[in-house]
Amino acid sequence: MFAYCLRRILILIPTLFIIIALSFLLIYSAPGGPFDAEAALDPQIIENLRQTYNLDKPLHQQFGLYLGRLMQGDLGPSMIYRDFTVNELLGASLPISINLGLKSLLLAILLGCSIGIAAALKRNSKLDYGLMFVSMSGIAVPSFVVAPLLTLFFGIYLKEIPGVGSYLGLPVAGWGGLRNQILPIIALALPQIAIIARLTRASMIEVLSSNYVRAARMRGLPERNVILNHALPAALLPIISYLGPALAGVITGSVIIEQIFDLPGVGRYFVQGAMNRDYTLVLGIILVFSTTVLLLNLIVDILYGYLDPRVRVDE
Amino acid sequence: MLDPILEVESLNVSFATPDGTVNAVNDVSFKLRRKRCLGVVGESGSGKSQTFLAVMASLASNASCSGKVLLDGKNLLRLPKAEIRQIRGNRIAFIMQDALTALTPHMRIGELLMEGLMIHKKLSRSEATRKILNVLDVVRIPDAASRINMYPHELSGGMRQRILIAQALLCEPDIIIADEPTTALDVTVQAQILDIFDELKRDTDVALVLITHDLGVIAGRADEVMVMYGGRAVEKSEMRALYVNPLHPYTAGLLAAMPSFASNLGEALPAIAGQPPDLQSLPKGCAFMPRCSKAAQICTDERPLLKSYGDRKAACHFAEGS
Repeated sequence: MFAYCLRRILILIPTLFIIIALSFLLIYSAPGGPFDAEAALDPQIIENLRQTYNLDKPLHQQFGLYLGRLMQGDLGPSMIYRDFTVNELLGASLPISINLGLKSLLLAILLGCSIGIAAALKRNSKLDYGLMFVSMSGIAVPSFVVAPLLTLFFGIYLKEIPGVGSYLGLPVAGWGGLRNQILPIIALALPQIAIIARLTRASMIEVLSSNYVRAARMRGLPERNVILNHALPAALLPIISYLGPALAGVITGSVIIEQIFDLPGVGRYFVQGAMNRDYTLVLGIILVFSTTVLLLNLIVDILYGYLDPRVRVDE
Repeated sequence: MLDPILEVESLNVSFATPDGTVNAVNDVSFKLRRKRCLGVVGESGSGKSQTFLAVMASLASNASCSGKVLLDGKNLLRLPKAEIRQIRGNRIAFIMQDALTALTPHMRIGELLMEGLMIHKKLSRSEATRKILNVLDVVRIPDAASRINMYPHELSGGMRQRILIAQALLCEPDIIIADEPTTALDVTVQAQILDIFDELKRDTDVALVLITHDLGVIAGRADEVMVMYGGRAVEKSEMRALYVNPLHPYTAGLLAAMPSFASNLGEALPAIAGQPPDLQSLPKGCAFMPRCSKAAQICTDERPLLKSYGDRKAACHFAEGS
């Protein structure tokens, strides 16, 4: 098991290198540059700026310099927020995005699995159809539609009601206490709840009709036993392997949600960085995001082996 | 002869499907006795498995059944779920077809054997473990103490079949029903598994049911044989008499289709021509008529009833007792 983990971690290095190289090539070949917006600048000043940030050197040399700094854990200076390094910007914004992402993922797993299991156990009942209709809508309606609707309802309508408004009315923007987080967390979690609920239902139904679940019932085990010990662990396997993509979904989803709720997270920097051709900032964020996704997939694979002894390697 | 422990009286099972009703089991009756082995023979779709799933009250949700399955004077078909649960695995054990998929893949063998004992017999873990090791010895699992920490996929097919048998034996049930216990196994392993059943019959009081499509499996092992065709019992007989002098032409066809060393190599085995009947629209007459060599007009017009010929019974207009 240890050798397997080590091998998987070592594979991360070439994978990350390829991701950095491709992203580097892509963003540098996009038209325009970080200093284009400031049209009034003197050509000599722009030239000086380009020299400062090494943009005057050939591309392969720039890439080499970037990698060299990366090895020392330095993501370079931001080309737009010129008083800050990318490390500083990420250091301030990443905790907010991680906080938001993990909370909504947790909510999505808890609610999604419960809804899916309930729907599977009451298969083809009104409850099942109702839950699946709601979750289908959850997948179909994008978060940039759901988020303003939530804002309108909780932030404006409920706030108007005297007495209730001070409890139920929620702030619609900014980052502060837990009350600020509720709406963005829900908006971010909704599509994931829907996807996880559908996944859980489908795999639970499949497992419930399997031979070994029938066999467990034929041995006279109580239904609670059959579901918790025999069906659930097998039914949750596909959910575990979805967690990698789910985290990616929560991260990319946060790009929009952070804009809507005006949260100072990574997602907002990502959008603005890409618009402004802030090369180092965008590369830094891509690097952090892809490392997270790769590491999470690794954790998921290890967890998968723990839950399903058949895929365990090297024992 | 001992009193019957389980009596099945005119059992009917039908399934509601989108294409209409499928009559899987029609008017089947039989009795099980301690220390006796009933062999149930028939081809796929003859209703042999469904008959015993009905006995376990474990039919699919679209099934409906009538008749009686009496255990201790109680009709299992009418028993509430909680009471059925105390009978399943505890009084009547069912060894499922397909040993490869009947064991939960993510549970260790020990856990899979333990849970029944803890639920039905309220044993503690250590008592249960002792009992499990004893039973694994009965079904000839070598090195049992380490096997109980393994997962099902780490065992061979024969080993998994033994585990299933052990699982059935653990609660010391009155009745063990084995559905095609040797089908997925190679011939030498088949023989070893069948030896275990022979020992069970000799050493315990259990009433045994062997469901199979292979007359070879129950030869010399069953006491009585029930041959099923189209959801009906077409012949019920003491085993030796059935092999020597089959009353029903279907039984005769099955016996003729068994390979033997005496038959000439290279010669095709005799087979029963035609297809099994469509259970959605069983004919008015004899279900076997289209495939029968003795068929006459009466077979189309009138369904033969199960009639007694001495100790034996058969459902054929042309059956002759000996």
